[in-house]
Amino acid sequence: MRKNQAFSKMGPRVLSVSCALVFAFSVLFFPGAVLARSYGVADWNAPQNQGGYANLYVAQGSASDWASGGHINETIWVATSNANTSFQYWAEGGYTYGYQGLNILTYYWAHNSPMYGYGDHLITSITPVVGTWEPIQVKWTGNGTWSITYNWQVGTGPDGPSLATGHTLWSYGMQAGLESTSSSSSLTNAVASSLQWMDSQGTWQSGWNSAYIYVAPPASASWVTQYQRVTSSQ
Amino acid sequence: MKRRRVLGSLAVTCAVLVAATLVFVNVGRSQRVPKAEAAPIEIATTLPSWNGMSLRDTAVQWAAFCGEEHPTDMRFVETTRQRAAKLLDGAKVDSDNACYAVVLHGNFVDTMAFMPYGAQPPRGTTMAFIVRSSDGAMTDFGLNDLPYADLDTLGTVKAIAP
Repeated sequence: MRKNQAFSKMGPRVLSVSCALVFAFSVLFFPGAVLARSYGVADWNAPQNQGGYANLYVAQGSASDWASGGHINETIWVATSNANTSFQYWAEGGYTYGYQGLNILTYYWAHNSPMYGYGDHLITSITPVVGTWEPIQVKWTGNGTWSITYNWQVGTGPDGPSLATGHTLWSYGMQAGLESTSSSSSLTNAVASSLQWMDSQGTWQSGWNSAYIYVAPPASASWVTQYQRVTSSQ
Repeated sequence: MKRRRVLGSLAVTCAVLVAATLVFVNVGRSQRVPKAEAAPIEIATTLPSWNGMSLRDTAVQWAAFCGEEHPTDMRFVETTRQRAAKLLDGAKVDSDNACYAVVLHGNFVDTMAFMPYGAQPPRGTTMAFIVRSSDGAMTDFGLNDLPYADLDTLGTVKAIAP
């Protein structure tokens, strides 16, 4: 009886100590596993495809953690190299408040490839304007390469689209919406519209049918038109 | 009896955590840090700087942001952005300004990376970034495990003193 009473007193204490140990262990040795990051996205476990498209509305926002490399961005992500929504490999394009220590609003693209690992890149030839729309397309272009095209301006310019190499063909997942590295950053009423995907035959298809909304607060997201248009805020 | 069982479980949990820690740290040391370059590289006597922030300051600060307080084998080369981005990340970028390409080593985890929900933060033993010559702005950034032994194809490589 006494032992049981002692256990009932000790139990929660032992449990909380165990949890604290596990948390401390995670923070110390697996810092990436404990991310203070918010999302408000449409997440689609897609059929076999070779690209995605979204028309992004450039919304008003600010990144509170820009000085330490933080950002808040509206983006389309496309899994690459046979990856699905676990996104082991991907290519992405969008606009961001905050880029590598710069307090700016800019277009950018990034990728994680089997050959080159992770990389992100500033786009300097075009500049986002709040209140305007920016069509962004990420698609397979052969020879280990996925292209990231902005409003077809960069794509039709003398240099062609931005190119991410070191990948392989086929995507099985894509996302569109808001990502933030700080809960105190803001982005108001961002929109990813006209969601499309390129099927395995190379034909563009409308709608991310069966995609669902994923939210990690304080970000929020909801369908404006299901599978076609999602709005996100923080 | 139950209490003894709980304490026993706790002891086992702690032992597993300690063992996992040792394995993780040793794996990181023995396999992930690349070997130092064989050929000596000239150490830069002066470094480019912008608003009181030198190329070394930037490298050390970004390494710290990625969890590495003591980066090693820091090198840079003066070049142009498109050549540097192609070599460092296989990337075709949209501008071709004068820049500095910087490579350093350590154990990095980029918790500030741009990435989709569900992805793991990028890790690597090599950090590579590109800084615009005109204003010191970082225009490109990456993590991987590549040694970049061919960095000298971009120009004269100089070392940054630790």
